[in-house]
Amino acid sequence: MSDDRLSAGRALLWLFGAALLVFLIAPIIVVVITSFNATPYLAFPPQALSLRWYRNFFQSAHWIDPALLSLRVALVAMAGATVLGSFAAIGLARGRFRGKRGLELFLVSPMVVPIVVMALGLYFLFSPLHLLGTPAALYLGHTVIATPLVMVIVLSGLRSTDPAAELAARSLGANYWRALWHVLIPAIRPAILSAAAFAFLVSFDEVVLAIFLGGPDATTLPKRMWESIRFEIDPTLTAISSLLTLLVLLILGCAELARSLQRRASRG
Amino acid sequence: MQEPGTEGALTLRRLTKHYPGFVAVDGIDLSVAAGEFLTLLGPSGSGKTTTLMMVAGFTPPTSGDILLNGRSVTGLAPERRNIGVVFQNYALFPHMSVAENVAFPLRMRRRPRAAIEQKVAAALDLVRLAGLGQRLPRQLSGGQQQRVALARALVFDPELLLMDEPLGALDKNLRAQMQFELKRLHGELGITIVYVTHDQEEALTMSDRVALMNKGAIEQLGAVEDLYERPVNRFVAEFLGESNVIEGRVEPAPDGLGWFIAAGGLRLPVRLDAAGPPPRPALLVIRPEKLGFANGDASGIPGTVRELVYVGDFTRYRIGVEGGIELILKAPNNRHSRRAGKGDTVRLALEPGDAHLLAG
Ligand SMILES: Nc1ncnc2c1ncn2[C@@H]1O[C@H](COP(=O)(O)OP(=O)(O)O)[C@@H](O)[C@H]1O
Ligand SMILES: [Mg+2]
Repeated sequence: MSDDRLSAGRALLWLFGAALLVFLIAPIIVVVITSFNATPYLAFPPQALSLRWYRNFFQSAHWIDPALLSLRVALVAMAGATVLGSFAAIGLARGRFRGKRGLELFLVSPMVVPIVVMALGLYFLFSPLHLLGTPAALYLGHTVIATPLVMVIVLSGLRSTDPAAELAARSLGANYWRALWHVLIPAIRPAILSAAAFAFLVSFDEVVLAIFLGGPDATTLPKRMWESIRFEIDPTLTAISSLLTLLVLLILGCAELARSLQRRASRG
Repeated sequence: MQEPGTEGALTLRRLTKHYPGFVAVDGIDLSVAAGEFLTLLGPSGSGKTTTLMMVAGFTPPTSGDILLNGRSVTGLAPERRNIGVVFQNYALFPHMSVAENVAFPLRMRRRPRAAIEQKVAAALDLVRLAGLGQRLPRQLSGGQQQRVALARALVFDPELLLMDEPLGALDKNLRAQMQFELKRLHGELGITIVYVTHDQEEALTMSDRVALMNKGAIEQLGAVEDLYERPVNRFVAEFLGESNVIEGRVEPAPDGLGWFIAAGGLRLPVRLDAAGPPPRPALLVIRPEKLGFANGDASGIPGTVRELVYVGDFTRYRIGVEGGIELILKAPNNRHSRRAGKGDTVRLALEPGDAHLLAG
């Protein structure tokens, strides 16, 4: 009897898992298939196949300019967040000072504060600085939200390193910075790389800060997509969505690869 | 033995480390002679690592001074002290090959490439790892990794080598082999070594001198034999080897001899120090191997065998004597030594010079 109940429970679990997967993945598949449609309106399944919407994305300034801005913002935010977040993680992991735990909580807080609250706060901060509507507002805003993510990932990478290695480096004649550069950073390089990948994605996908801080002049790709959905649904959106999905898969794949390399390296 | 304050390879003056609400190292004075192998021995938490970390420059002392070959290095950054350090878990750089690990201190000193290659090869040769330079640390056994750490700490000709429980992670056989190797290297290179361990056997086999630490202070500093035969207090007597420690008082007799009278009335013959009056109250320390079974029936301390354990090279007896006192006796298992069985009534022999008197 208990065997029956067990297998019934397991079947239910499988069903639930499968349903979850379908609901998560089905929309993506529908969008990807639709993007190859030739008709000037959305249709599923496609009546004729073409690449016209992809061509439209790459050829019209309406789409490609925001895409290039998004790329620029994501690269700047990635660089800023990776440097700041990595140093914060190293300081938290290796430093010995009072209030460390409190500082750590403070530094991860942008991850738990609702994004709208962050956006509003930055809006009021940037307004008197005349930063609103400039790419700089987005560089700064996205760096702020990506930094804690980098910090958390690098901290977890640091946990698997041996602090004695840095002490050894010091005793062998390396000053603090050279020990950092030659010993600590190589040991956590995979964590830093995967953190950078996530930072890039967080910025590239981000729409709330882009709306609040970008104004009419600094329009990122997600913001342009959002605007375009409000009036009419341009099938170019499906092509862009497909490209974004591909980008995410590529970047996450690279991050996962870096992680597994690190795991193999840290194993004895 | 040098007095603190005179020039040794390493001199510690009133070295102290306070942590909030806790004294980890409590004003240590120590002078290590050039070429000496000195061991800091002590139970876990006695401040050995903290002392070593202050000498290496990783932990700033609260007060006191550290002198290396006569020059104070107390405020100096670790990379400017020219001290080799070997850690318990080796602390090799996992992303560098064995040769790159050993080359690291020379690269940091910006030595020419040819000189580096030559020194690295010589250092790997010294620790018998020639030919393994291209391996990564994780491709080596624990013992080999420890040799790499040693080569790396020696390759830049440091003025002092510090080792913190370097053999703690190795199994017993490998540990014995590495102890031997370390002694060989010490002899060949003539380098000054300060070695930390909580393993008294390791300290006894390797050291020229031992500093026995307890609660952040040095209880006794001296040659191994001094500490074992002439402990200055109860802690030293009980930490090193096995001891029978009996509380009581001393009754002088003529000819530099006397009686030690335990609380329960047991009387034991002792030799008294000519220098001063006997301590009172007093402690008597008797090493188990100094006790034996008496030949005649009339003389000796009467007792009963409560328990015996055969341990291979010797047999360990627990013998109840007068006044509710139990003494441990170790008798070698050879044809010359007498045996006894459980429950036997025996008489114990003790040479007056073999018992060591302490202030109680
Ligand atoms: N950073 C620290 N903060 C507070 N107490 C410490 C710190 N480092 C060591 N201690 C304390 O100092 C004492 C001595 O430690 P240690 O030198 O590591 O002893 P040993 O190496 O002899 O085992 C221990 O009780 C330890 O808890
Ligand atoms: Mg220790």
